[in-house]
Amino acid sequence: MAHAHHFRIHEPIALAVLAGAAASLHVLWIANVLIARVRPVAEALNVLPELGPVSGLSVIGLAAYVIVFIFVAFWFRGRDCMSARDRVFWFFVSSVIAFASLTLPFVSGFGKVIR
Amino acid sequence: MPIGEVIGCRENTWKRGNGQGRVCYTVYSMLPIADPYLALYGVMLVLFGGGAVMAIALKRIALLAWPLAAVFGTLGFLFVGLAILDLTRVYAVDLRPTSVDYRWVLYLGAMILLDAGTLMLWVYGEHAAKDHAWEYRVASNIALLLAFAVLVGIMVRPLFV
Repeated sequence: MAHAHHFRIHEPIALAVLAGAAASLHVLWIANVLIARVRPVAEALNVLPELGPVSGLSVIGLAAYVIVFIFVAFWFRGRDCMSARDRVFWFFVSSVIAFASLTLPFVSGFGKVIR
Repeated sequence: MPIGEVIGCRENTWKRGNGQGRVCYTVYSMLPIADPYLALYGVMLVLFGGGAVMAIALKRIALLAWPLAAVFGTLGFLFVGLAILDLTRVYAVDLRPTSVDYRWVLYLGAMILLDAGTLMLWVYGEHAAKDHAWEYRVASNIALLLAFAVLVGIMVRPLFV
């Protein structure tokens, strides 16, 4: 029984970590494509001019992680996570595949690139 | 720009043991011997090796989850350090990143994966060796492997090309 109690306390956090990382990776590859193609987006994400748009990319990646983490952790707090575990895991796997493939320079930079 | 051409030199870029205090970066090869970047890179490779061994054994030895989380966490901080050193090298030759280079995106992805692996093992590590938690174990292995791939990719792709 003690094991089950321990299990319920921690699993929402583990789920939230996976979901947060997955969402953040999706935000990163989408923002990366938009920065290369849409000038207003690149200018908006130029938070620190010394670093360029990568500064804004870091900020929104971190923000996506924190927001999704907090939301999922509270959503599953005290609930049974068994049904969501598999779905969140595959969401994470899909985000990893999307990030790894769609940030490749010849993929994200295909076509018109704003200099 | 031809390969091998010096694109920047600066006095006292690094405090080096040989007292020269001068580093020149070329288009093709930008890492002088005894560069702190190389030392940090070597430490990270060793940690990744240890982490890989623990990750493989995690199914049988659940107690390895905590040390593995410690390795993940350390690697996460070292990745931040490596990125800062990379930025320092860019600044040393008076270059400024005007776009999001693939290198910096990879750094961000690796940091997120390492942070996720650390947090996941920290809060759920003692269950990670059990069959009902295979998702978390596989996810942490994916994070470790991809972060290692990023580390290799960062070195394979020179900063100044």
